[in-house]
Amino acid sequence: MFDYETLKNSMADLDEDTVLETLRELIDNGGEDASRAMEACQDGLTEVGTRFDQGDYFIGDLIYAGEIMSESMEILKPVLIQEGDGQKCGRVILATVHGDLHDIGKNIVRAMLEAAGFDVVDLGIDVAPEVIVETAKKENINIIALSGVLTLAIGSMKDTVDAFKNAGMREQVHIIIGGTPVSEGGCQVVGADEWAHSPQKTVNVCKGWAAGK
Amino acid sequence: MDLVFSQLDIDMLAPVKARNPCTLEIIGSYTYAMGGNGFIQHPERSVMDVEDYDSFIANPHEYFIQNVLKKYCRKLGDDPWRNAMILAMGIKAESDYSASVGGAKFRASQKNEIYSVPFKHLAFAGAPCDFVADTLRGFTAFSKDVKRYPEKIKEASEAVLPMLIKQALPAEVADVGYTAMFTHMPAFMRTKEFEQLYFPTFSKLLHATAEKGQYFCVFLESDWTRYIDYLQELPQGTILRLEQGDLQQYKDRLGKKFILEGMYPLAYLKHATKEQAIDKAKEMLDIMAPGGNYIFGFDKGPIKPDDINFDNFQAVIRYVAENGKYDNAGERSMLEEPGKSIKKCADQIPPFQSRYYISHDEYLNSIDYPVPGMEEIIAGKLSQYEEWIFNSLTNLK
Repeated sequence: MFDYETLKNSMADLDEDTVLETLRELIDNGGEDASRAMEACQDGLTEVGTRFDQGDYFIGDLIYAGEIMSESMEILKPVLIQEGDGQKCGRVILATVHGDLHDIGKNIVRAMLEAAGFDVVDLGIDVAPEVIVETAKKENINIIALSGVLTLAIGSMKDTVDAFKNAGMREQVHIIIGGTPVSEGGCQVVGADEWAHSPQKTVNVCKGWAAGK
Repeated sequence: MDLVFSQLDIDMLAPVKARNPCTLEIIGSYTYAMGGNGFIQHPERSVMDVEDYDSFIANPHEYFIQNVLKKYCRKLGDDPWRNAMILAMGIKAESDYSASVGGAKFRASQKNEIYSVPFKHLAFAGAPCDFVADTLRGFTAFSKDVKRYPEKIKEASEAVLPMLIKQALPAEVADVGYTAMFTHMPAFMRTKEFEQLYFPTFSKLLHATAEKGQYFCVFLESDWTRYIDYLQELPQGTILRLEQGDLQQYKDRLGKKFILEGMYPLAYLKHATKEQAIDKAKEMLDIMAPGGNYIFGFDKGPIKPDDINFDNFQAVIRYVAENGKYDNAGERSMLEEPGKSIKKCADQIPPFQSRYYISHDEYLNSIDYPVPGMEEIIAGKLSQYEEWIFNSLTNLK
């Protein structure tokens, strides 16, 4: 048995040693409650996102939290696979837009989306609009998250939204943009549905879309 | 260049240079890569494993030459002769490119009567912690090291100080010169981490360099409002280039000790109307100009022509040129004599030493000519080349 609140708080406090020791002990004792432990870690990660939004945590904390989360998933994965607990809450295409090679923010968002139960199709960096549109069509995915750091990323995000329009798919997809140059005004220029500086907001928005809201 | 300068009512040119694809191709740059739209940028790279901190700390410059250079320059292989050729070609290409850009800028500034700081008074150096993050470990690995190995970051930052002080000193120190620095990691760290890991060596670098008469122009990436108390500790007269944050707080709490620059949102040049763009400039001048110590500037530099609407750009520059006038010209604008704010620390920092660097005195002691006075002349010249290769190699990426 493990204490749900302790594990959740340890994740929220980025106490790597306690999180990993708790999970290893749980596995050594037969792995019962692995799904609950996973939930506790996910809840802890949500708290990390909240603390970031409140200005108590910074990007460095999100990177470290993502690291602890992937180490945790590695430990729990063998048991979770046996339990067949692989239910996904939705699918998302994630990409750094054309012309931009930065992927730190994108990778943080991927870690947090995956922890929240999304199946993320990560197309990488410098991704051309048509590749994103083709993937959405082929994989039948209607949530698109676009990332960028450079000011020129705004233009590429707009090109990507336009590519969905030109393919006659704009009404079928939800598009969120994120990264340093993004803002409310930028979102309007781009023609996206939502924008975020915070990965937690991205997760919440995608969850809402996946739930049909 | 000439066309653009001739249409702007500006007093001074900032040094600007895009990356040279030839240099990057010659060395097989690992650090810089061209995006699908042709813009060369710096994706995240990690070239030092966590196990190597101690080797780096033992001698940062030797570690850099022996281990980092070959990772940055992927064309360097097992053949030392070919390696020497690649490095020579890379440095020559970069030097030709700098001369070409510098020459064009010089001619355009002469023609349009715009001041430009002579190159010999300029230098570039990163903050010690940023060196560890950006040059060695990469953003992601560094962020994890902050949590797991803070002591290693501290030791590495202390160890690299002598090398960075050396980089921070230009060929010739003069009042008009400055050393440029682009900070990176503070925006992504907790305040406590900044205080313990970043600030001590950042501050030492600026003070030790100021002791030698050279001041920094520091670009403060993102919002530094939460770090204002720390900034107040820096040498008076340092130029602080602001990107985001509370303009009024910056002015009130830093404006008497430092020269403040920046923060005009570049997005206004692209997306706002001309009137909105001018109103924004007026709003900034109203806060920043009284009392002086202010240079109008943008939060970010435009990286390609269509990042801005040139009409807006021209209108904003004209407004600032016509209205940006000091009401206290000729009066003292700072709190005290610049030198008084310097916390002397240079003598506590070990001198720079590396098997790949020969000092002026070592040259002088190792050469012997039959003609009196010739040793001094030759040692001086050799020393210049030594400085040149030191700077060229530490900047070859």
